[in-house]
Amino acid sequence: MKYKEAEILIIEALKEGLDSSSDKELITAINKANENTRLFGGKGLLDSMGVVILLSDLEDKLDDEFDIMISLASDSTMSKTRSPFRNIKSLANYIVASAEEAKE
Amino acid sequence: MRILITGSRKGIGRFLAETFLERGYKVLGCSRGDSDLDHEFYQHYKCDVSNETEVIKMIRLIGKNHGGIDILINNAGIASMNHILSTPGNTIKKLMDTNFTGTVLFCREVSKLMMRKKTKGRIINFSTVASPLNLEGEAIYASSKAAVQKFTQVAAKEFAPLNITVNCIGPTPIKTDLIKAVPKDKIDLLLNSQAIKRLGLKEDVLNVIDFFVSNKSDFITGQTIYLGGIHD
Repeated sequence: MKYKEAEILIIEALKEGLDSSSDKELITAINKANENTRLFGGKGLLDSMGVVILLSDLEDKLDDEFDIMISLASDSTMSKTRSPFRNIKSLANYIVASAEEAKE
Repeated sequence: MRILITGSRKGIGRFLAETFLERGYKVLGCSRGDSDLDHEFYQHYKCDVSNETEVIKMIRLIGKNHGGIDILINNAGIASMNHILSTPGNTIKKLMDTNFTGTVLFCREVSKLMMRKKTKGRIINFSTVASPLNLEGEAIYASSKAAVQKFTQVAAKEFAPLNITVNCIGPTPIKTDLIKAVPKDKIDLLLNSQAIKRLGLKEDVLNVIDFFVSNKSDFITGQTIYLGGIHD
């Protein structure tokens, strides 16, 4: 799986997760999202529940669209200091690495 | 309604599978081996409940083939009677893996599916009266089930925003393979500590499950109901 594909997947998942949201600020931020967009911590787009939901949606999409069946939950995924949920770039890199690992 | 029952090949799991099939449910079951339960609305999966990869694959397959799961019954479990001093390390690991890790993995994967499908889900886990009774010879088994109860209480809080309730049943001894190796005097001793001194029936377990899965029970979560008048 390529980095760009993972980035698009994340942005798609974020947009799909907006279906019932009425938070205009959040809708605008997600529609403008790019690889540097902060996801979690500081002024990130998501709270902890939002991260859990995104993670689950991404697992679903990876299976449906790329036939990659993995669990994105790991000790390092959920750790605050090394979390790949810092921004879209770090998460996309993490997904690419996890997909590679699953192949081996 | 789609109900997933782990450990459905025999014992209580088999009884529950047959009962829910009679009621017109679509029943999905699993065990490490094949099942001879043959019914047009039953589908069996071969799965080791403590194997994370197998559990993930099975639940994803169910999501694709059946569109979701409404009720999860985490029935799969193993028991072992032994003095702590003579319990092999491998037995400890096997009991914890099947009884605790298996329950956690199924709760995790099934609740993700329930969340994605926006299902008002029901999860029922299995504990035992051996836990509150602190039975000698059952230290590891009782501990693994105590862990299931604690997990149920925390999961109830984490899953509540997802409209999923998580509860637990604590059966007394019931005539199944699980207790066939337990000496009669040990069983009698256990029955004597119950308020109602008889072996449990599979129907007693079903009765509690019916209560937990009822539409009216959407305000009941994080609870453990013991059979026979046992309490913590």
